[in-house]
Amino acid sequence: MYMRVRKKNKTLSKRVAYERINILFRLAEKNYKTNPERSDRYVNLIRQISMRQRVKIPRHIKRRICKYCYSFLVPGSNCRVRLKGEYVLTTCYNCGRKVHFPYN
Amino acid sequence: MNVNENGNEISITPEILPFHELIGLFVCAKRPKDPSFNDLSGVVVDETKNTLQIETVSGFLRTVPKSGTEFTFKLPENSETGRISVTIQGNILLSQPQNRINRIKNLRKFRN
Repeated sequence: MYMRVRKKNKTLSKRVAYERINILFRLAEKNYKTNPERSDRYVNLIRQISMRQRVKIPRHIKRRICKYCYSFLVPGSNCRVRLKGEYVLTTCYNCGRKVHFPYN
Repeated sequence: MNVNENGNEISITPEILPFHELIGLFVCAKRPKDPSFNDLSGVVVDETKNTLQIETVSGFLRTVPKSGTEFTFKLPENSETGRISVTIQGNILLSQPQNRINRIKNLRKFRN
Protein backbone atom coordinates (compact mmCIF):
# COMPACT_ATOMS: atom_id res chain seq x y z
CA MET A 1 0.00 0.00 0.00
CA TYR A 2 2.78 2.37 0.99
CA MET A 3 4.70 1.66 -2.19
CA ARG A 4 1.68 2.18 -4.40
CA VAL A 5 0.89 5.59 -2.90
CA ARG A 6 4.50 6.67 -3.26
CA LYS A 7 4.63 5.64 -6.92
CA LYS A 8 1.38 7.50 -7.60
CA ASN A 9 2.78 10.68 -6.09
CA LYS A 10 5.94 10.36 -8.17
CA THR A 11 3.97 10.30 -11.40
CA LEU A 12 1.90 13.20 -10.10
CA SER A 13 5.01 15.30 -9.55
CA LYS A 14 6.18 14.54 -13.10
CA ARG A 15 2.80 15.51 -14.50
CA VAL A 16 2.91 18.80 -12.60
CA ALA A 17 6.42 19.43 -13.93
CA TYR A 18 5.22 18.82 -17.50
CA GLU A 19 2.34 21.25 -17.01
CA ARG A 20 4.64 23.87 -15.54
CA ILE A 21 6.95 23.59 -18.54
CA ASN A 22 4.02 24.20 -20.88
CA ILE A 23 2.78 27.18 -18.84
CA LEU A 24 6.23 28.77 -18.75
CA PHE A 25 6.69 28.31 -22.49
CA ARG A 26 3.38 30.04 -23.20
CA LEU A 27 4.37 32.91 -20.89
CA ALA A 28 7.75 33.24 -22.62
CA GLU A 29 6.00 33.52 -25.98
CA LYS A 30 3.59 36.09 -24.61
CA ASN A 31 6.24 38.28 -22.94
CA TYR A 32 8.84 38.27 -25.72
CA LYS A 33 7.68 41.49 -27.40
CA THR A 34 7.53 43.58 -24.24
CA ASN A 35 10.23 42.05 -22.00
CA PRO A 36 12.62 39.72 -23.87
CA GLU A 37 14.86 39.23 -20.83
CA ARG A 38 11.85 37.89 -18.94
CA SER A 39 11.28 35.16 -21.54
CA ASP A 40 14.94 34.14 -21.22
CA ARG A 41 14.39 33.77 -17.49
CA TYR A 42 11.37 31.51 -18.12
CA VAL A 43 13.49 29.36 -20.46
CA ASN A 44 16.02 29.03 -17.65
CA LEU A 45 13.22 27.89 -15.31
CA ILE A 46 12.00 25.34 -17.90
CA ARG A 47 15.47 23.81 -18.05
CA GLN A 48 15.88 23.70 -14.29
CA ILE A 49 12.47 22.07 -13.74
CA SER A 50 13.10 19.46 -16.43
CA MET A 51 16.53 18.62 -15.01
CA ARG A 52 15.37 18.45 -11.41
CA GLN A 53 12.30 16.31 -12.10
CA ARG A 54 13.87 14.32 -14.98
CA VAL A 55 11.12 15.23 -17.44
CA LYS A 56 11.86 15.56 -21.16
CA ILE A 57 11.35 18.97 -22.72
CA PRO A 58 8.79 18.47 -25.54
CA ARG A 59 10.24 18.72 -29.02
CA HIS A 60 8.35 21.81 -30.15
CA ILE A 61 9.63 23.66 -27.07
CA LYS A 62 13.19 22.36 -27.38
CA ARG A 63 13.50 23.80 -30.88
CA ARG A 64 12.61 27.29 -29.67
CA ILE A 65 15.53 27.32 -27.20
CA CYS A 66 19.15 27.96 -28.22
CA LYS A 67 21.23 24.90 -27.39
CA TYR A 68 24.30 26.94 -26.50
CA CYS A 69 23.25 30.24 -24.91
CA TYR A 70 19.76 29.16 -23.72
CA SER A 71 17.96 32.17 -25.12
CA PHE A 72 14.36 32.04 -26.31
CA LEU A 73 14.30 31.90 -30.12
CA VAL A 74 11.71 33.72 -32.20
CA PRO A 75 12.11 33.20 -35.98
CA GLY A 76 12.31 36.53 -37.75
CA SER A 77 13.58 38.58 -34.84
CA ASN A 78 16.00 36.51 -32.84
CA CYS A 79 17.07 33.67 -35.12
CA ARG A 80 17.15 32.55 -38.74
CA VAL A 81 15.49 29.31 -39.91
CA ARG A 82 16.51 27.83 -43.27
CA LEU A 83 16.04 24.51 -45.04
CA LYS A 84 19.44 23.22 -46.08
CA GLY A 85 19.50 19.87 -47.84
CA GLU A 86 18.10 17.31 -45.42
CA TYR A 87 18.30 19.62 -42.40
CA VAL A 88 16.54 22.52 -40.79
CA LEU A 89 19.27 25.01 -39.96
CA THR A 90 18.65 27.47 -37.12
CA THR A 91 21.10 30.29 -36.44
CA CYS A 92 20.93 32.14 -33.13
CA TYR A 93 21.64 35.87 -33.44
CA ASN A 94 22.71 36.22 -29.80
CA CYS A 95 25.65 33.80 -29.92
CA GLY A 96 25.91 33.20 -33.67
CA ARG A 97 25.94 29.42 -33.41
CA LYS A 98 24.02 27.03 -35.64
CA VAL A 99 21.92 23.95 -34.90
CA HIS A 100 20.81 21.28 -37.40
CA PHE A 101 17.62 19.27 -37.08
CA PRO A 102 16.92 16.45 -39.55
CA TYR A 103 13.55 16.18 -41.30
CA ASN A 104 12.11 13.93 -43.94
CA MET B 1 -7.25 29.25 -23.31
CA ASN B 2 -5.72 26.98 -20.69
CA VAL B 3 -5.22 23.90 -22.82
CA ASN B 4 -2.12 21.73 -23.11
CA GLU B 5 -0.55 20.60 -26.36
CA ASN B 6 -2.23 17.22 -25.86
CA GLY B 7 -5.61 18.85 -25.45
CA ASN B 8 -5.74 18.19 -21.70
CA GLU B 9 -6.83 21.01 -19.50
CA ILE B 10 -4.23 22.25 -17.08
CA SER B 11 -5.26 21.20 -13.62
CA ILE B 12 -4.24 23.72 -11.03
CA THR B 13 -6.36 22.62 -8.11
CA PRO B 14 -6.26 24.37 -4.73
CA GLU B 15 -4.64 21.22 -3.31
CA ILE B 16 -1.73 21.23 -5.78
CA LEU B 17 -1.27 25.02 -6.05
CA PRO B 18 1.70 25.27 -3.60
CA PHE B 19 3.65 22.91 -5.90
CA HIS B 20 2.45 24.36 -9.21
CA GLU B 21 3.53 27.33 -11.29
CA LEU B 22 2.87 30.68 -9.61
CA ILE B 23 4.24 32.84 -12.45
CA GLY B 24 1.40 34.27 -14.50
CA LEU B 25 -1.25 34.04 -11.77
CA PHE B 26 -3.09 37.07 -10.42
CA VAL B 27 -2.31 37.61 -6.75
CA CYS B 28 -3.21 39.84 -3.82
CA ALA B 29 -0.55 40.13 -1.10
CA LYS B 30 -1.40 41.05 2.46
CA ARG B 31 1.29 41.85 4.93
CA PRO B 32 -0.15 43.17 8.18
CA LYS B 33 3.23 44.02 9.69
CA ASP B 34 4.25 46.72 7.25
CA PRO B 35 1.63 49.05 5.78
CA SER B 36 3.49 49.82 2.53
CA PHE B 37 2.55 46.38 1.17
CA ASN B 38 -1.12 46.61 2.02
CA ASP B 39 -3.50 45.35 -0.68
CA LEU B 40 -0.78 44.86 -3.26
CA SER B 41 -2.29 43.13 -6.26
CA GLY B 42 -1.00 42.19 -9.70
CA VAL B 43 0.49 39.40 -11.81
CA VAL B 44 3.41 37.32 -10.57
CA VAL B 45 6.39 37.90 -12.87
CA ASP B 46 9.33 36.17 -11.23
CA GLU B 47 10.06 33.93 -8.28
CA THR B 48 13.13 33.31 -6.14
CA LYS B 49 13.70 31.26 -3.01
CA ASN B 50 12.49 33.94 -0.60
CA THR B 51 10.57 36.45 -2.73
CA LEU B 52 7.90 36.90 -5.38
CA GLN B 53 8.15 39.70 -7.91
CA ILE B 54 4.78 41.24 -8.72
CA GLU B 55 3.88 43.57 -11.58
CA THR B 56 1.10 45.76 -10.18
CA VAL B 57 -1.94 46.94 -12.11
CA SER B 58 -0.38 50.41 -12.49
CA GLY B 59 2.75 48.88 -14.05
CA PHE B 60 5.26 48.96 -11.17
CA LEU B 61 7.46 46.05 -10.14
CA ARG B 62 7.39 45.16 -6.44
CA THR B 63 9.36 42.44 -4.69
CA VAL B 64 7.46 40.83 -1.83
CA PRO B 65 9.07 38.49 0.70
CA LYS B 66 7.29 35.15 1.00
CA SER B 67 7.67 34.70 4.73
CA GLY B 68 5.01 36.39 6.81
CA THR B 69 2.82 37.29 3.84
CA GLU B 70 -0.67 36.06 3.02
CA PHE B 71 -1.17 35.49 -0.71
CA THR B 72 -4.56 35.17 -2.40
CA PHE B 73 -4.14 33.57 -5.82
CA LYS B 74 -6.76 33.60 -8.55
CA LEU B 75 -6.65 30.27 -10.35
CA PRO B 76 -7.10 30.20 -14.16
CA GLU B 77 -10.62 29.59 -15.38
CA ASN B 78 -11.75 25.99 -15.40
CA SER B 79 -14.78 24.67 -17.26
CA GLU B 80 -16.04 22.69 -14.25
CA THR B 81 -15.39 24.94 -11.30
CA GLY B 82 -15.08 28.44 -12.78
CA ARG B 83 -12.79 30.93 -11.12
CA ILE B 84 -11.58 30.14 -7.62
CA SER B 85 -9.36 32.24 -5.40
CA VAL B 86 -7.15 30.44 -2.89
CA THR B 87 -5.49 31.93 0.18
CA ILE B 88 -2.05 30.58 1.12
CA GLN B 89 0.42 31.47 3.85
CA GLY B 90 3.69 32.42 2.20
CA ASN B 91 5.76 30.27 4.54
CA ILE B 92 4.56 27.15 2.64
CA LEU B 93 6.13 28.50 -0.55
CA LEU B 94 9.62 29.07 0.91
CA SER B 95 11.68 27.13 -1.63
CA GLN B 96 13.29 27.54 -5.03
CA PRO B 97 10.73 27.24 -7.85
CA GLN B 98 12.27 24.07 -9.26
CA ASN B 99 12.53 22.41 -5.84
CA ARG B 100 8.98 23.22 -4.83
CA ILE B 101 7.56 20.23 -6.77
CA ASN B 102 9.48 17.79 -4.58
CA ARG B 103 7.26 18.61 -1.62
CA ILE B 104 4.32 16.97 -3.40
CA LYS B 105 5.36 13.84 -1.49
CA ASN B 106 4.05 15.51 1.64
CA LEU B 107 0.53 15.38 0.20
CA ARG B 108 0.46 11.73 1.27
CA LYS B 109 0.09 12.77 4.89
CA PHE B 110 -3.09 14.67 4.20
CA ARG B 111 -4.67 12.02 1.98
CA ASN B 112 -4.23 8.94 4.16
